Amino acid sequence: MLLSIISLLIFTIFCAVPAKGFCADNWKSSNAAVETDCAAWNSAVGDAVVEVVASPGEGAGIGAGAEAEAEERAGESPGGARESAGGVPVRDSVEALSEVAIVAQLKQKNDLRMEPLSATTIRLEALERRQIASIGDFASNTPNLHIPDYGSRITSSIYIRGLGSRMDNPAVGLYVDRIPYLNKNGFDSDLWDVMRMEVLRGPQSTLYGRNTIGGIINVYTLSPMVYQGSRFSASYGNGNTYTLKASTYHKLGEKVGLSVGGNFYSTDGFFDNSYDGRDCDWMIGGSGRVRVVYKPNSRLTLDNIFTAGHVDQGGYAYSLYDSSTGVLEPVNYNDKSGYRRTNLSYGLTLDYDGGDYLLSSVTTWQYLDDCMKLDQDFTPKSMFTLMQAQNEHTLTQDLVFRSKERGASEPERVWNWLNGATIFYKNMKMDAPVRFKKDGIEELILTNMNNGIHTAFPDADVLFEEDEFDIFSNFRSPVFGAALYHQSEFNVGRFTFTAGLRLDYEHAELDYHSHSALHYRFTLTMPQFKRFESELKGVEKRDYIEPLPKFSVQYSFGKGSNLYATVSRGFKAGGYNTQMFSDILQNQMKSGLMADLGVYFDDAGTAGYSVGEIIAYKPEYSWNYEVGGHFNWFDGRLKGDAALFYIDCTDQQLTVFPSGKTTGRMMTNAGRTRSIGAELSINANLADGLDLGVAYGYTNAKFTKYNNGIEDFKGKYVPYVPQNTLSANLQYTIYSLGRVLDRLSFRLGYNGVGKIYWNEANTLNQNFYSLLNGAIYAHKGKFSLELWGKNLTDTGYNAFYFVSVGNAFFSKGKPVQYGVTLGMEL
Amino acid sequence: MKIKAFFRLLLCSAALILFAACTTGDEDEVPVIDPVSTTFMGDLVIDQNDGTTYTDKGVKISVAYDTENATATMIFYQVKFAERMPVRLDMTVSGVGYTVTASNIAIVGNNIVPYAMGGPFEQYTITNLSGTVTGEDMTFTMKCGPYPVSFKGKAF
Repeated sequence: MLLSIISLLIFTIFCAVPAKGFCADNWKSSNAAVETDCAAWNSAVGDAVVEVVASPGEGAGIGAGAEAEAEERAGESPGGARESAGGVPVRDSVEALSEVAIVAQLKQKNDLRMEPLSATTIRLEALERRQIASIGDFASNTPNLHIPDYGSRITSSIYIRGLGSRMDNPAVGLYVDRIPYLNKNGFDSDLWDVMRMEVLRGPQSTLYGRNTIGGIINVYTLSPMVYQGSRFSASYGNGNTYTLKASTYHKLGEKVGLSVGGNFYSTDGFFDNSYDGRDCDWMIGGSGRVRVVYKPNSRLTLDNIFTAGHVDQGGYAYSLYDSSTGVLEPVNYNDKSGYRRTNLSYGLTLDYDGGDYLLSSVTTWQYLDDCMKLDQDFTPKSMFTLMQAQNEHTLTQDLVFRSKERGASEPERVWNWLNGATIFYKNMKMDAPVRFKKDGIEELILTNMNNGIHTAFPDADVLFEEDEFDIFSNFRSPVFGAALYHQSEFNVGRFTFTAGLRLDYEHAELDYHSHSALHYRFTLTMPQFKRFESELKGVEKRDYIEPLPKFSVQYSFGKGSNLYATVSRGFKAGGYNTQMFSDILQNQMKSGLMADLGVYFDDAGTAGYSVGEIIAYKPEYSWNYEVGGHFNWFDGRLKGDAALFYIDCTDQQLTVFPSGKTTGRMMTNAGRTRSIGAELSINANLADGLDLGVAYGYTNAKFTKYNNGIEDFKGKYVPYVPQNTLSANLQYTIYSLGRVLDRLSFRLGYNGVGKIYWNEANTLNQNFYSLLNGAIYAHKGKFSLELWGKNLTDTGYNAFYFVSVGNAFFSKGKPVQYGVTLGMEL
Repeated sequence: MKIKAFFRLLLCSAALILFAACTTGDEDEVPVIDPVSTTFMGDLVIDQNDGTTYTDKGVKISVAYDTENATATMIFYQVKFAERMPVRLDMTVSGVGYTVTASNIAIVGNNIVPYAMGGPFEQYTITNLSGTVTGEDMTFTMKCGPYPVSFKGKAF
């Protein structure tokens, strides 16, 4: 086992090192080198998979008893397991497993509808039929969870129940096979062969800690102990988009399970950059996963999961918005933009079934190496570009000791308990140079300076010798956290009372160093250019200790129906505004350069930013009050889930764009917001083979106290938060068509989102829009064929908004997408 | 007895001579203001040549002395010469002559091109600079370009 871990670590470090040096080194050279860098981002890491399989005997398994439970529960599912007309037992196929999909929950019950919370679960078959391959796709099928397409895979802006932000710490925690993803940059990764995805809405901070203020998303991939076989698929769609997937799952005897899989995809994208006529949002990438499960006896299970992913993309199809005419210009910018990311993760989970108790340990290591390059003005002008190269290692350890959940046939235990301890450490290093180019120097710096000077000396100018200069910023941000938590659940008759408390400690640092140098001349007095240097360096440290309680009461009607009320506290960590440093230093340079000249403007506004005020932002806190229920009718053929919530949030973190021709964006704390809303989900088996799922979310999130010093936003809607999210899926499946087909399915899907306000002043918005999706799926023996389409009506909508250098931009939603997928299961 | 009286007379005479010598020496020594670098704060009054004056209050001016060359350098910090002037300037006036007298340091200068905004600033050439510095006070008048300027300030 140790050998396996060491070999994994050595290999992954070996994979990662060249990628990091590559990005950083090229920036330090010329512009031409930057272009070469972009072109050469295609370093793959797929080979990693083969190395790991070399020692399969030391694997681990999924959660205790999951396989047995899956078998046990198969007969409980509505409709039960079926047998195909072709004689292939569907029950053994991955689709049948999706109906039962028992996963190794670390801290929850397996059936989330038995818990006092609002959750949405989508299983393998539905995930694949709905073309869900990312958490963004998942969100569009989930009420009150909104993850817009930001334009690249670096940032998954997540909004849930009125909380969320587009950068830094997420409002929702992501766990893939129980491995926590602490960096939001890694959220938008490839999801395939996913057995189950679920979102738990509302603060989950008592059990999961920081950055779960809006909830958590759990992803469980297929385990070789649950499914054995091989799966292949090839898909082609418009935009020259193709995807290839292959995976194989085997049991090597009774104790060891092994799975290996990978995917590869490529797309030309759907938007062109009119500046050069080239594809804008092209993307190429892939991922691999190796899982080794070892179950030496009925009590102990060890699960090793190693994943590697790589993506290289253009992206950033941002269109300039003319606020005077309301016209959205075509995508048109001159500097190369793109994103490259390599991420690796390894998780070792250990589950011990002690009969009455379960002991689980999850040890993880994650590595993320990415590089983003932006034409940050997103115009044809040569103003300024940003490169942000990040390199991060994360180690986590979670220990959970809890009473074992009893089976449906056993009497409920009076007291269920859960104790846990968590520690984590992550260390992020970032290089984020901003290159000011000719137009940017002129418009952003010199014009501003010379306008002031001309009021005193009309014929004199400040000139720079350089056509371009860089503001270099280097950061190191180590974060350490530890937590102890406990939750008790008391069953008294039909009532269940739950109380939990977590103590979270976090220490965060930011070591920053920004510097720049250039040569300048004042034409009135200086015949020669003079070198001028500016530097900003320092260390910021923050410590937090947060108590995170939770209380709930639940009343069970039996047969899976219940009502609940919950009060819980949420916490989202504070952080540092690294994206503001180029702005801060740029302003420091302007004022420093004028001081070097001995010129001081009367206008205090040009004095620049106060670093101390801007550099850090505070944690965000919330109290979530919620009532809801889960209902089963007609022997489970009709299921309904409803929740009403009220969230009182203090210091809500907001991404804002400083006024004027600034180049950065920053996180700030709004004084107070409140969010009122509801979720309603209905899943109905209307007739044999005819299923309908409808999920609706409503959120009314407003500022109750927020004045940014210029404007009072009290009563305004919190930006980026959709007020309505609606999804509906109607699927009709014919299970037997004689010898022709084993199965034929028709699916019609609908997604509606809006209204979304884009800014704090609520002057810009996206109205409610509707997207129509559909698929026809045919299955025969080992093969399947699917025709699918998304946004079939080619509805135009804006998915994202931001401001740069005083200009407003929108990222348009993807147009109609369609394709065909051929699948094979052996 | 006579010898004793003689010695007494001699001692008295010596004492008188010594006393007289000391007194003579004290009367010859001139009290001197040390040319020590000092910063003064005060009001700079600029004649706008239109019948009005502009007073820039709280201006700081430092004076540093080069004793080898008997010149002084005056640095004006963030001064403004007119109400409508949108910027404040640091201005350095080098090569100011100075003379230490019994009661003050006299400063003088003419046709000195000040250094401002990174270089020589001929537009504001200093003429007719004349003033005095004592331990606590500095006063001077000059013309800065076409503008008559006067300053009165105290050591800061």
